[in-house]
Amino acid sequence: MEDEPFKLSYEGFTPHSLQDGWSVSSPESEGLSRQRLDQVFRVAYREDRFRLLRSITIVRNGRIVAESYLYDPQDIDRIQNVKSVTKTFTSILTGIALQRKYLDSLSQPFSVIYPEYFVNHADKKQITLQHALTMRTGLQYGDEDHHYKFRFSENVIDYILSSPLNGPPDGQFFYSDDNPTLVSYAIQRTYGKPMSEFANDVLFKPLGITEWKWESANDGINFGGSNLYLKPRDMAKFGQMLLQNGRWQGQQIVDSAWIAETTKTHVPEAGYGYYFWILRDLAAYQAAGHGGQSIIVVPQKNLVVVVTAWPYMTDTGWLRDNFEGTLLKEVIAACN
Amino acid sequence: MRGVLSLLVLVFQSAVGLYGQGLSNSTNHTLGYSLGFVQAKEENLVPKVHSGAMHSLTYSMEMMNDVYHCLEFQLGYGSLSTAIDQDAGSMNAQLMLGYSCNFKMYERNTLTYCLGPKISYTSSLSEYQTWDEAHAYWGTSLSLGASSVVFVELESNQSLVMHLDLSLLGFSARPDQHRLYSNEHWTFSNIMTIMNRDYRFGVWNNTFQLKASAEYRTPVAGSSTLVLFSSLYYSRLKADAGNPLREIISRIGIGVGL
Repeated sequence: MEDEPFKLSYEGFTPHSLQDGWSVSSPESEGLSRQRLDQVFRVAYREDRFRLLRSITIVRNGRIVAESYLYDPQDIDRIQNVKSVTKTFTSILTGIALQRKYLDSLSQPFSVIYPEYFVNHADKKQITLQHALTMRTGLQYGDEDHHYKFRFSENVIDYILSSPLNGPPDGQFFYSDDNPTLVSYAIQRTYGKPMSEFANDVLFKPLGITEWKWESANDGINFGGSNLYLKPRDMAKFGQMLLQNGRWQGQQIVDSAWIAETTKTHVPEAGYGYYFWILRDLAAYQAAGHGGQSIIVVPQKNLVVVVTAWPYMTDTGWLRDNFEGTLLKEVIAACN
Repeated sequence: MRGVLSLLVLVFQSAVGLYGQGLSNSTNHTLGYSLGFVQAKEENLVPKVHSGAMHSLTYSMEMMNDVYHCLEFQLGYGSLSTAIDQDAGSMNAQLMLGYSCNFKMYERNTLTYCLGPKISYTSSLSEYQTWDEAHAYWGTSLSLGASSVVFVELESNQSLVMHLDLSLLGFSARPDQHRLYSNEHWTFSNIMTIMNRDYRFGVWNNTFQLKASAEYRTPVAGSSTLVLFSSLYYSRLKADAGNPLREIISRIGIGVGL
């Protein structure tokens, strides 16, 4: 038995013209160096350190100028777990929920929204939306199987609140899927339906995203931090909407003020906004997920780069570090 | 399909014709241990070959009346990896249950040849930790095939026994190629359920298994027998959609016949 090639052979990056709400264009028409982009794709195909890479989509000036599916061409039309990119969707949905008055303010404690869960967790009554959005609730993992138990919990909010506090809220940054799930349930309680339905009503439909899946815990509460499934081009729509300050095809989906607020650094030691990673060196911000899923927005270059990767690998050399350190810089440098 | 059925009918007809010609009456129980080398390519995940050692326990019961009956059980556990694996290897467990009913087709001097049908249940469960930390991968089959056995009597009550088993048709169960759930629920009941649902019928294109083995048996103390054996197993399992699981397992082992 023999190994077979992990990736397909490189055949260029010309985007497909589909009836999916996207216009396609060429690098030259949008002020990008074709030669430099070609080098980026060749390296991505050739080098083993990018083995987790499944797709690259590059959007400039609102048009797709390059895309490639390195493992399977069918990935263009296939939803995939975007892992912690989900958190960024939760952030934007929080902004829309604030704008539509389902949520009062960022300083609103969860104990006001769903008080019954805090009867047995009085020490966590002060945790607010803002604490959750900045991963500063003080909640730590109870044990090493925490994430697995969280996934299959019959009462996920109670399970999250059962975790020990490592200090008062607003202290240490502790990245987890728990905090966004507290937000998810806050939206569910105030909207009256799971956050995924809220997302469909206020975000996916306006963006023309028709095929998606959002996993829930056993009690029906959507995971706020992971397990949203999307197609790469639909991730790019989300990125383009962010780049356009909340607008998509003439419709203001989320307030531009919220885009500005959520993509601002709120946790300097982590380079983190409200579920956004702030790439100061690149003048960009990013939604990032396990393995290397990414939506990267570079406002000054009018550029959106979407990357999908194998979502379940435990590889130590995640795509994210390699991609940002090399290929993303090259894509940005290819912009005139 | 018609050809396969015809072949089976022929096997049965031949067997019925020979029924009653007589093999020596006895029942053997054999317990064994084998060390194997596994190569597995789970193409629903990645077309890389995972390989490694496998430890197996085997049990067989043979009944020789006029017909040779053989009931087999095998349970193996291996740790596999590829050259790319860094963090952790992969786990593979194998279960095999088989029953064959072989009829004497040829007998001359010290050589006896038997042929008959065999029904097998095989299950291979893997967790490819480096490549997919969240899901189980499996290939389960329930197959019907042909089994042939050659007995060669040597001096001093020693013997050689050679088996060649080939699946002809069966049902196989495989995971979906694209699974829209983030984590497998690793409970015994859930794993057993998912490994045994959505069986798809197929012939050689979906369920192909070939096993060849050779045993050397020699009497030891009392009525006990020392058994030295080696085997080679090839399996290719595929559901209607998705890609196949291919496995090659070579084993050498030692056992005691009681």
